[in-house]
Amino acid sequence: MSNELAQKSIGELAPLIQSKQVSPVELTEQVLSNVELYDGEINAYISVQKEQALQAAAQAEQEIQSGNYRGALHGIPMALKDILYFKGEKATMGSSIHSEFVADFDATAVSKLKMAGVTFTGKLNMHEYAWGATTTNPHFGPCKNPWDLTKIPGGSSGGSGAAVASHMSIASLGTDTGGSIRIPASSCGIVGLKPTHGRISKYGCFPLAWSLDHIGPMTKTVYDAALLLELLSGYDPKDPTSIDQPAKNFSGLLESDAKELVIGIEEQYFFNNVDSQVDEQVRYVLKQLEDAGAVIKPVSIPSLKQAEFAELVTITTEASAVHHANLLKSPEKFGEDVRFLLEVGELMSGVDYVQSQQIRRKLDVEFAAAFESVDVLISPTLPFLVPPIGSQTVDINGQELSYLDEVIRFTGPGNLTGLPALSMPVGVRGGLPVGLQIMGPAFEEEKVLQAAALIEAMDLMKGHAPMLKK
Amino acid sequence: MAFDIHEILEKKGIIVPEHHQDMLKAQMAGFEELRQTVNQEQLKDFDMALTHIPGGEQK
Repeated sequence: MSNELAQKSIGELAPLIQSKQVSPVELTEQVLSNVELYDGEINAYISVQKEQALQAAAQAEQEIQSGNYRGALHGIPMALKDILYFKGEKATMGSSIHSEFVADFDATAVSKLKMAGVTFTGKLNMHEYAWGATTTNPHFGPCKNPWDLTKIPGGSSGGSGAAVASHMSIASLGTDTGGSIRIPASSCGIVGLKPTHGRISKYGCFPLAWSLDHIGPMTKTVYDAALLLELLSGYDPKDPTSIDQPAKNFSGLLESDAKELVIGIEEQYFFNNVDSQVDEQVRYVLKQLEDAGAVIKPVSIPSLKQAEFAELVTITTEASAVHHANLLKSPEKFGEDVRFLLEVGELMSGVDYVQSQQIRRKLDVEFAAAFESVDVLISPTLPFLVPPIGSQTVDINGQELSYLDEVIRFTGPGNLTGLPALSMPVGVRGGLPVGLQIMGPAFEEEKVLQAAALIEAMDLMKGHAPMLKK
Repeated sequence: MAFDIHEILEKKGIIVPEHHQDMLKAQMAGFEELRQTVNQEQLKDFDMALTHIPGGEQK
């Protein structure tokens, strides 16, 4: 079966579906065919809902034929991270403890996608309880990187990254507490957007660490990320962290002029100890932007040197609070790595936690000051190229360093401050994609998306694609 | 240190596998280095800005 349709983005498919040139059933069949072809090796799916998906696609087709087109997501096949609740369906959170848990309501994000007419093809693999960044899941098997099956896809939303990169889902959603959307997006060569904290409701999403958790789109293009963001945005009284900010027409705000863009660079933190290939690629993009008229301006955010402390304390403490009862009752049911991290969280003090929240406040103030003189901040998403499955370390310019310590170094500040941050692919080095991170001011995701659209127009991924079997 | 960590967790009722004890000791030693980055003087005047809303959540 041809899979040309499944390789397209939402932005390409929507007008074809609306004008009835493409059948949602045919599209869904192609996506499911890719799942049959690739997922035996990649293992991005925890469960595939073939019959349910084909029925939903047939319904979408019927509605569109009858003139009831709902919008750009209508008839688009998507699989989501198995941490979002669907009423009456299992949500495993990638765990053994919740392997039989059935949700009795829809997550707000799921409900919005259902209303938009999305066809759901299944639930995606993830790091157990989203507490880690490898997606080497002990209960459902390791998820592999479509660019190199010996490498991890990043995590915790590794299944989402791998599924979108291998056209087993047209787009997906991930969750991000220390970088779990942006890390797999960078590792798998796709776009991942963590919006401002409070922008997208987390109601019906199992928590990892409440004050750091976000839901966001993982897509093939910047336009698709903007489309999903505008659909999922909006105040939700069911989520106590939801903030009442007007939703914007993000997909209509992507055009901008490089000559009006001021890019901030925080060299001391965001370019410290970066793999030389990653560093080169990101600086190449910056040079291209500068040549196109953008202004590059150095900024200083001194409290970033305390960010690792604040992120480690906040994430471990809140996660251990979530799982405290199960750690007492049935610790053997957790994977080895998650059990270890939960033990670490139990060792943090109340003083550590409060000081971490003070650091977050200080970072808020310093980032806000930086954004008074720049539109966005640009950095690498990860300071390394992804390691092999099973490796606990990464190589950065010949130094062997802890994966766990390095992986959220550049993404964690976005969670601590809640500021919007996007990762996008900007080239391939050593056969693996390189991700660039763009951060912006609170509730001004359009600035991040506009800068991303300018970079996407450079076509740096042209001719590059995962080596999928024919 | 390993004994202290084990004792703290045991008092909470948490069973720690023996092979985790050295790992926890190493992790907490690394954490101690991070703790040294915290400038207590700078934090003195900073509110912790929790998002607790008196009277409950927004309606």
